Amino acid sequence: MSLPGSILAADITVGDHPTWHFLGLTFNVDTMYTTLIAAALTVGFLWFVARRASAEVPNKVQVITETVINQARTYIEDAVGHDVPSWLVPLGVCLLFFILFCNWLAWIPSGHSPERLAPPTADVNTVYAMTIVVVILYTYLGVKRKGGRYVGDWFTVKPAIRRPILILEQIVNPLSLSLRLFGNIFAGGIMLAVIALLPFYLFPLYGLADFGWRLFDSGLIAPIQAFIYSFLTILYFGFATAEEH
Amino acid sequence: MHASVVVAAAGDKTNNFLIPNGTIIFEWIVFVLLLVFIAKKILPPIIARIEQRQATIRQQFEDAKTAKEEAERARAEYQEALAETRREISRLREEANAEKAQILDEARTTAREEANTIAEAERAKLVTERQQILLSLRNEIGELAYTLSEKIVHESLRSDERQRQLVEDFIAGVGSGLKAEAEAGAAG
Repeated sequence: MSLPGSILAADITVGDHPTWHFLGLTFNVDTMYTTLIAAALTVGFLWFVARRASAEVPNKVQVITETVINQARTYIEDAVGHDVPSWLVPLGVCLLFFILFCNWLAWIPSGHSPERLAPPTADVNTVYAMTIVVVILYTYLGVKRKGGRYVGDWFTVKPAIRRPILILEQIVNPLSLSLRLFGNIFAGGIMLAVIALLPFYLFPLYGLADFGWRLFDSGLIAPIQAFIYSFLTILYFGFATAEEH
Repeated sequence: MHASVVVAAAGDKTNNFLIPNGTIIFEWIVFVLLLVFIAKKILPPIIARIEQRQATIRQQFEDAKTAKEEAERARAEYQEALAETRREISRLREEANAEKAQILDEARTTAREEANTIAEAERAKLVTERQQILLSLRNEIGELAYTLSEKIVHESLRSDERQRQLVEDFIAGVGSGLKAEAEAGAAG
């Protein structure tokens, strides 16, 4: 589809992936291997922190990471209250670092077109998959804590005006959680493509804009979105286990 | 070259980028594996380390608190002891003062009593001496009167001149006798 009167110098394609068809399903090859890279980076980084954790004097990266993990524990304890399940802190930490590394993948040159790796979080498959895990786990914890009241509360909570909101939230929360992350990272990629459309005689500006945007995207948006996703996950665990009075 | 923006969601029904495809299965498995691996293998040592560090810090805080409390207690004890000593000293001083006053009082009383006793004794002695003097005077006067009356009787018939002489002698004798008596008493 072409836009009449457009003066753009290149095609911008979004949501385009090299695909692989198997058993009647379509697989986005680039998302799959970038996911593996991000997972490997997450494991490698945390392993590095864990290995160095035995050292008497921790280094700066370790201290920062441990502070982050400790902060996550505090948030989780505040949200869920008594006996935090053993998998909840790992979930928060895993989400935070995995999303962060996914978002940062855009820095790595790919050696072919597109020039740099696309973050897996710019693909809805990744964010939906993570959100499904999150929803399963917080529903599990909510039902474990409250039994039938987990669902029952949606229909009996007072004041009554909150009931439709609560029911709607069951859909809206996971969807907004996914799409917020996806949209931000996806838009970051589109932004780079748009900057790349600057005419060649403006190449100094192109370089500046490209670098500036990457800096902003990786330095601010990537960590902020990783934090927001993890923090909201913890918050939803809090909602799922909260006792209505 | 004609530029165009290809938005897959708008034109291609099979490729709406908000609809997940088979990739989600792969992504889900990868994420769950990552989560399990991190939860089982990677995080426990880190969390153990954090907890150990926190325990150490808490322990240090408690130690510092205990030490501070102990110092506080020692200081309180020291001050208590100091105050006790001060009270003791002031009590001793008061006692000493009281004792001093008592001793002075007693000494004064004793002195007064002794003085009284001595004065009493002196007075009694004086009375006794006076009575003795009076007694000896009376004896002497009696003797003199007897001697005089004897002489008067012997000489009565001789002359008036002689009588007058006799009385004058007698009176002079009494006077010198009294004087000698007084001198003897003063010397004795």
